[in-house]
Amino acid sequence: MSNQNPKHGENKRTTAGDAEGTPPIDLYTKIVEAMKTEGLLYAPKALIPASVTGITSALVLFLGIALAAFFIGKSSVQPVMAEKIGNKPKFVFTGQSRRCPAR
Amino acid sequence: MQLISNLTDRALVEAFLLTREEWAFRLLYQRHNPSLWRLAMRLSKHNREVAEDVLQDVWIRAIEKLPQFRWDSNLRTWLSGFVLMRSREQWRSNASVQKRMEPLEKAQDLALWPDFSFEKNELTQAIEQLSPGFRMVLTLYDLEGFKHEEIATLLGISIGTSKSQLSRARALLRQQLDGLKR
Repeated sequence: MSNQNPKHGENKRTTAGDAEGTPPIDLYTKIVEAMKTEGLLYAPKALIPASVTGITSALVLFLGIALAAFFIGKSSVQPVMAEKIGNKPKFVFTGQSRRCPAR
Repeated sequence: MQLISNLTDRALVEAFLLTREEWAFRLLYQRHNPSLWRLAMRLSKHNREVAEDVLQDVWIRAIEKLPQFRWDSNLRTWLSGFVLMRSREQWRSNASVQKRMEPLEKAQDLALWPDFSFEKNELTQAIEQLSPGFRMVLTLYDLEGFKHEEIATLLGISIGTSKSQLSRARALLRQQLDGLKR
């Protein structure tokens, strides 16, 4: 060998030169694609189809609007109900206009 | 990210097996592919196309077998075993191609292992002239820094055989280099 008795494993890259170079950049992509095809690697985005994502967001939006409408409605209706059962609040906010039922 | 890249091989493998997500594989690949590439190139007589095919198969096979890995050796040694196995298959298939092409010109046979990507130095040329068995032991021990115990496990031979093969490979290499100098 050309080098003078190097410690084992110490000189491994220089012994035969750096002829190996670096692996091709697209090798990783090829491997990952092959692994996805073989089912060895998850492709998280593909796990949930776009249609499902769309339906879910539409549903969440609808529920949000419904809940908001319910609470807004409730806040304007509640004082009226309270009035009916005789438990009159001193000052109520109906959601439409301010009034003082005590007057 | 620093913390993740400091994870041990074992932790990364466990994370990968648990999630099967790309980030864990990418870290394993970045960590081990350079040495696997070097080995594949050396065993394929520096044929980039062959080394690329070898590595692509190696990673897929290794990931398939990853759940069965028992950590009797380190991950690098285990992965290198796949490179050796796949390179042997490559030699065998090339040998059968060579047999079929025997009536053709010798120059065409030599083209089975083309390499124009770099100018080989004398040592590389001499190593490439060794038989596959000698080349493998010499590459693993002298160039890749594996121990005889690891080589014995990888090649399925005894430690004594690994040592004697290495000694014979070195002697042959010395002869080849002397021949080249003259």
